[in-house]
Amino acid sequence: MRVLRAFERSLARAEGIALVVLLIAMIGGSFLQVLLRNFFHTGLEGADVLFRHGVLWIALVGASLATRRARHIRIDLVPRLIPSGCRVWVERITAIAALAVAGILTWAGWTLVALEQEAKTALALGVPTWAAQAILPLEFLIITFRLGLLAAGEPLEAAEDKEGSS
Amino acid sequence: MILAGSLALILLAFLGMPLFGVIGGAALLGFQSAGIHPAAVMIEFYRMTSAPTLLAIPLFTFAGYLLAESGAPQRLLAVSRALFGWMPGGVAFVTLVACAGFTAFTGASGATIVALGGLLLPMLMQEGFREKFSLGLLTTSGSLGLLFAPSLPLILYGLVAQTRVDHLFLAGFFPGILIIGVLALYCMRSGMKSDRAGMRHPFAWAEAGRALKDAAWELPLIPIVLVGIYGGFFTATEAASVTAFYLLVVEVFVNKDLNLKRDLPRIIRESMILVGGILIILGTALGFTSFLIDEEIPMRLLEAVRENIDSRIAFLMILNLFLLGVGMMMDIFSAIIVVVPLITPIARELGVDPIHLGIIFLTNLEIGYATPPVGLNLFIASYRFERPVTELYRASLPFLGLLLFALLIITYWPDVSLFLVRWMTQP
Repeated sequence: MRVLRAFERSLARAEGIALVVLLIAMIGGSFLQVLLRNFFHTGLEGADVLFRHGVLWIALVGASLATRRARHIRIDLVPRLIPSGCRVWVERITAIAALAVAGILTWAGWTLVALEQEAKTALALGVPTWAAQAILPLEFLIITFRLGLLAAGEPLEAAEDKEGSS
Repeated sequence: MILAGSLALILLAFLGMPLFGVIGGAALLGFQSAGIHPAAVMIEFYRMTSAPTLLAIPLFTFAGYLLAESGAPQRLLAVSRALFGWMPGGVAFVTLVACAGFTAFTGASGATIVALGGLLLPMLMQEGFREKFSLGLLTTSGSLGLLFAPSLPLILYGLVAQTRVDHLFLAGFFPGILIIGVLALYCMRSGMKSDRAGMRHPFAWAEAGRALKDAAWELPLIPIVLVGIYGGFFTATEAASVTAFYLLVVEVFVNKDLNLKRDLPRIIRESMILVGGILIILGTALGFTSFLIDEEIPMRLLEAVRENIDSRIAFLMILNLFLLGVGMMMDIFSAIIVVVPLITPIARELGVDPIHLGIIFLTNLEIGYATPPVGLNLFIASYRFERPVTELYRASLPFLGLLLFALLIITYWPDVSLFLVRWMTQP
């Protein structure tokens, strides 16, 4: 379990760095695009498509980190009202259910990427579509893994770890 | 099997299962029952990338977090105090303006009460407002400003309902002013009744000048975004890009409120975790909605509605009650993602304008945020001010009554929302 937790932490660190790099690149890139479009009446070809895929990447990496912090959006009326001894079990049960869904979605994402790989379509600037989609099964796999640790009662959010701030 | 699965998912949802799991599970069950491969859910999830305003969501969320983490809340407060503090019920009015402005940029994720509440509560009490009044005002003000550009819920509604975000921005303007106006009248009355009404401050040029100078870098953002969006110079996405870039430069390099290495990575992570939480629900909901449409569920719902409700007014009334309930149970983002696709076809059939529907929708959810027993703002305020939730129930009641009054006007008088859209878009 110790090894798994350490592995999970290094994943989180890498994901934290990925978020920073992706968002900064998109802020800079989209601002450049605004300048080019409004003052020079031109634009970066295919950039808008890439930015929207960047949002997809950010969304999935962010969602994966939300899993480890128990920050997914949920209806938390009942968990707030029941005593904490009960709450631990309720949280385990909901984690197992979410794990089952995330597991199937990982496989579904993998199927999508495999189909797209055969179709050999390109997104923009020579990026193949399947590569942009690969984030779907990858992050759902990590989410499944994290939900597994949570269901096993492993605490994921340790005070000392900082998700990629070095 | 399908029935048992659906019941289990509903039960799990109320036990606090992450909503993306509930909705993703529902989508998987649905496609399973229709004999369609689960990959369909992911195909729909991926369809998110074809929404033109998608980029605005992470950029505005990040900008909102930057503002909340910097010294901007204090500076914003100082400016509104200097400009509006002389009015009767001055500090209460300052509260309304500052909270609305802050929420428009940060998107009603509870940040307003956390960032401004702690500063405003002592100010209000000091000026002679009763504690109950002050707590109620702050609790309901936590989601005020939702209807003003560039609020995130407006953008998300536009994305989900596939209506024009710039029209929504225009439509939200007068209803937003109406809500603030109704509350402001009540604040003025309380201010005049207060024993220490004599404590009103005269307008001071020096103080105003100092406050404006301190906020000199952040204030231009308001005209940039508002003129840009309302004047049609920017799309919502472009406005988001300019806002994020500008605030990043100002807060990190000019005001130096935030450190590039110490604060920025943390703020990016925190804000993008929220974005991930919202968009993973949007993605799975795209899968679920596409199943519902394949099965013609909205059409059947429409028929059921048509058999029982024949007038627009009756529909709107039921919609109001239903949405207030939704607003109490769910946060605003998942409520938009889940409920909007079901309601829009019915509303269209009954002749409700989709833009007007959006404003009704968000006003309802804004009120639901502060509605007992489970409105989110009540819990955030209870946590922030260290008061029992029941005390906040009582404190927020008079404000809720006023908000409901504004909601009735907004719902049954469509022109309040649509006038500006028509006026700005006429050839």
